[in-house]
Amino acid sequence: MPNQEKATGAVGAPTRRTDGREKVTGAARYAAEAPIPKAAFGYILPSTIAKGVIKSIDTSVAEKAIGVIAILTPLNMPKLHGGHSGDSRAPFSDMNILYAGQHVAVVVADTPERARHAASLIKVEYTEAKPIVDVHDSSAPLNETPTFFGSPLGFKEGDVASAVSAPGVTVVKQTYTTPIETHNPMEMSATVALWEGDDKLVVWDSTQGVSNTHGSLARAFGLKPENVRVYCPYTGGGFGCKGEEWPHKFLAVAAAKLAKRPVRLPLTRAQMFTNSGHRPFCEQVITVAAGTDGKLKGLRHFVLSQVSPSSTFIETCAAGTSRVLYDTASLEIVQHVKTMDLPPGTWMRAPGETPGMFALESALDELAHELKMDPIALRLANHADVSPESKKPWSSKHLKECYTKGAEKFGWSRRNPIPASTKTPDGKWIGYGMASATYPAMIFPGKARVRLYKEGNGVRAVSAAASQDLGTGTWTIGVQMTATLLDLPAGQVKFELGDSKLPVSGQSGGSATAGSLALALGDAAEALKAELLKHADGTPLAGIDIKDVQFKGGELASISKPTQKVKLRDLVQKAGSEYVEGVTSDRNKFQPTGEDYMANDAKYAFQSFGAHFVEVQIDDLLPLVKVTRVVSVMDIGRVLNPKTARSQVIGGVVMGLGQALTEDTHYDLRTGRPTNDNFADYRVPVNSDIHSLEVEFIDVPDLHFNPIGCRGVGEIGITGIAAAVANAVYNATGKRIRDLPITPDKLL
Amino acid sequence: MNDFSYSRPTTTTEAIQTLLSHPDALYLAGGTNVIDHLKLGVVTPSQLVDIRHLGLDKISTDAQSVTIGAGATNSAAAYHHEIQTHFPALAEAILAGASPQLRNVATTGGNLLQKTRCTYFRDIHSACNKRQPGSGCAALEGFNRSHAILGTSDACIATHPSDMAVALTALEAVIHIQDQSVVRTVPIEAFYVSYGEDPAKENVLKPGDLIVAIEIPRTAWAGHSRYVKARDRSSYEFALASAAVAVDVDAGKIRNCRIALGGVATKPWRAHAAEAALVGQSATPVAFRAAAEAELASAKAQKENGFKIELCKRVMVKALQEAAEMRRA
Ligand SMILES: Cc1cc2nc3c(=O)[nH]c(=O)nc-3n(C[C@H](O)[C@H](O)[C@H](O)COP(=O)(O)OP(=O)(O)OC[C@H]3O[C@@H](n4cnc5c(N)ncnc54)[C@H](O)[C@@H]3O)c2cc1C
Ligand code: SF4
Repeated sequence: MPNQEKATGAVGAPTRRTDGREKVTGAARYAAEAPIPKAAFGYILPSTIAKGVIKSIDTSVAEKAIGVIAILTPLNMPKLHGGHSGDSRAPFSDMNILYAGQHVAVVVADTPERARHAASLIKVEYTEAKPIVDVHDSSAPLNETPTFFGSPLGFKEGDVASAVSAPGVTVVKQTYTTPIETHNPMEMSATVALWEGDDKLVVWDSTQGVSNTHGSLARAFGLKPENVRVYCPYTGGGFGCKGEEWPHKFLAVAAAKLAKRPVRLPLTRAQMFTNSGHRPFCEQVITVAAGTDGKLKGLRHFVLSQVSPSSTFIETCAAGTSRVLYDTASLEIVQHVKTMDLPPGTWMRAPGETPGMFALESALDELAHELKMDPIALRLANHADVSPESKKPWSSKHLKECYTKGAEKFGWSRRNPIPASTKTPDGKWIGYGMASATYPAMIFPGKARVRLYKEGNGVRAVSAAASQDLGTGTWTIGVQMTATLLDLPAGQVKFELGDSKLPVSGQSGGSATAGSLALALGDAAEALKAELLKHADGTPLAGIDIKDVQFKGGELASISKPTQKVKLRDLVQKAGSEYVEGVTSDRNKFQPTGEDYMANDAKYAFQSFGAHFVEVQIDDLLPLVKVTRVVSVMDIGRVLNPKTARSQVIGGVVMGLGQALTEDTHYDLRTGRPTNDNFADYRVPVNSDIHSLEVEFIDVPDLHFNPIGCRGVGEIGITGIAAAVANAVYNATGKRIRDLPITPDKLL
Repeated sequence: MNDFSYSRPTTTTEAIQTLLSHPDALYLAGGTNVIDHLKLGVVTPSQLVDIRHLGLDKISTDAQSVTIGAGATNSAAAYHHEIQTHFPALAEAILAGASPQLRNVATTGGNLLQKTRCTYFRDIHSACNKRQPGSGCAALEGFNRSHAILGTSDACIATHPSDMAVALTALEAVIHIQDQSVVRTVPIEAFYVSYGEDPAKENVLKPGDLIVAIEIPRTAWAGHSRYVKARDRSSYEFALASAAVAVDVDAGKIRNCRIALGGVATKPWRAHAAEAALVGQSATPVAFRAAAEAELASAKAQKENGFKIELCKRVMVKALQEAAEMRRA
């Protein structure tokens, strides 16, 4: 557990990560390193074909290899009772191969090397069929009316067709393509499973949802929830690829049962490309029409994305972008999907928004150019004062300040709107580009608890939620939020997470962790207050209305008569038990300040906004794009911790630069196997690609959203960045690149 | 991964003997290439003969040349004062390759012999004439954006990936090779062979041959040499196209020059046609471009790598410009 003594600041303080030391010294144990003695090692044999049927699996030679303990295949896999996700088929439930890299067998041996070697001795015979891998393959099944989570993805409001053909409007219609991308967190997914008897299971898992994984495993193996324990103290990055209950988790548990030994089952880096999702390919056509004043008359957003035979995930590029960002007189959204014989796609950092914003914000830049308008002026002309989607007022929106602040800090006024007109003293083209950023504010229902103990002359608080820290700072902000809610010095607060036995939490996805935790902790703190007041008899607070009471400097105090107060320590003492505890109430019943986001009758629309400004320099002769400066200004509600929040934004920006310039998961069109499933060939940005990154926050609390006023910050940083780069490249060179990534060959 | 044994000889003769007595044995130097291939199943040696304890890591200089021991690390060579000042293209080429961590363990000998990054060579389930002679070439109709445009054949279109070897080719290095009885020297251009029918045969080494050193002659042009590399990201990335050039310019005219290309050819590519086109010419962008055109006239593009022809020309022009400017400075 992280040493939290250093967490000295409440909300708003740039507190260092409480788990920082553990991580840089290697003391932090990730799932694969779970402290389980005598655990055996699993290695997964992948399918080499992309489509077909397994005719036979011969494990006879492998079984005799040194060190082999057990081999799990579809032939001896126990039947699961649900719980799996990501890949919609239950793992090892049939002999069909639906994508290259699909798990085919798990070898358990005493060392990882022996497991891997034995896997190479398994002989699998397939009946092979020709996979569809090329999106332009006309035989790929096309669905023109797909639904996602039961909802249709098309949308229509007003008449875009006549807006586009009306006289006097300027129209931009362009196609933008974005390749498949792979998450590639540093830590590869891993599950370590330990059976205690026949009906008790302990699992260490690198997951984005401790409670989800717990529920899924209990269900899949028909176990009582209280007999399953899932630990995840640290997740080494996820970006979405650890958000589903992928097959390897269940295979690890089944293998441990078969081997009658605990099993460590990590995915290899190559398997991270095929067995924990990717961001699907998208082809988007944006049609946008505006009058001479720049006001949008019509916007049509067409999306074609790829899905996989065993996945229901759809990259819905328009819902989080064209639907919410601008005030347009008419809007039409059309989504098609093609089924290709590729591994399942999944959520990847700002799913939908990331490719969607590339298309929309590129098109807006093209429109600004056509209209001879400044790109910011065009965006201001179409600023959505209320939510275009729900027509509700925003809970808190400061996008205009993001533009102004960013423009000022960046020096936007120095931009020459004429492309290919500015050079550095050493002869490189220089270009400025900008784009908006946006991401919804989401809450996943969850609980937390806060306990107060006596300590010395005062108290010590320990708060907890099952939750998980993906490297984002959840450990740290948990302390800070608790300190703020209880008005205690952070040094007197501890926070626990990463254990399914703690109060149930939602997933860390959708940038929802901080906001959800704020809501759960806020409610737990209220419950704690009520608990404490039960022991207020004979104190100045006896009989007081709870609404008139607040935590204040180690005391509970009346708000209206501040002199009426009691030391928290005295109340804990009076309670007579080891601690006094507050737990989040049933989420459906409770109402935080303002209008609960989860309630159907919320009065507000909740959304984060921002703006990116990018400078590129490009050599005339060798057009390698260098992003020399990025300024990002974000409106994410209250900033819990400027240090961890900044890290999230620059992390998003760097990932966005990867999207813009280098990243592309490539598959062989004949075999469906990835051709670059390693860190040398799949290009995430390296240090020397990254130059000046500046981040500013508006930092206005959104108290309609939760009692702390924070919205999430994990994803918004990546949205819009690729468009800002492409727009800057256009400004620098006059070349408009609509097909990511912007590699040197496209600029020759 | 198959079982293999490991030995750690202490003399070159012992190393050569050990290798010869184990038919499928391989030398292990820094291991950055050979261990990678071991894990992928691309090589299945019976023994790894560790050559890091043979005292081959010295770098020595005299009036005629600099000699780099085959066991010297890439970092040691790149940061050697003599190399940085008198053979700048070599230092630049090494530092343009891989990452600091890799360069700290990778050796000069290993760098020369590193295998192609062709994705199908690395995937034992794909057809590949270089890995498995006669099995075909999956890259011809497959993913070939990074492949060669010069020196290719119907059997193989893979690039030689080394940056260092490109600079050494421009600097006309000489490879010192030891076998059971003698040490012989082979000019680097003769060291790498053209693919022809058998792309598995990349150089003139016979079984057991041990590279002991690389010698680089001092010339009038080596000090005015540059290495320019175009790639998809700014570090930790193999070349899409690169050029090492050394020029001797006198009164604006090119008296002598050496040019080698990387990332575009099946071996480190000595650009004789370009050199011939430049000697006696004025050092101008027009002349540089004409020379590049002359060299690339024989280039053959595949489906996805046509851009390399233009990119390579530009890399050559850039490198020539920069090297010519060094002379002026
Ligand atoms: C991720 C990654 C990125 C890279 N990027 C680049 C790049 O951008 N540019 C670049 O040029 N290189 C790059 N490299 C390659 C790197 O330079 C080589 O792996 C390295 O130079 C090989 O040296 P080594 O000593 O580790 O060789 P080893 O792996 O030990 O050996 C390589 C081969 O040479 C043989 N061998 C070694 N020494 C001798 C000798 N003295 N005599 C006879 N045979 C010998 C071995 O048997 C083996 O077959 C990269 C490598 C990696 C892994
Ligand atoms: S290009 Fe050469 S290395 Fe690549 S698959 Fe073909 S034969 Fe093998």
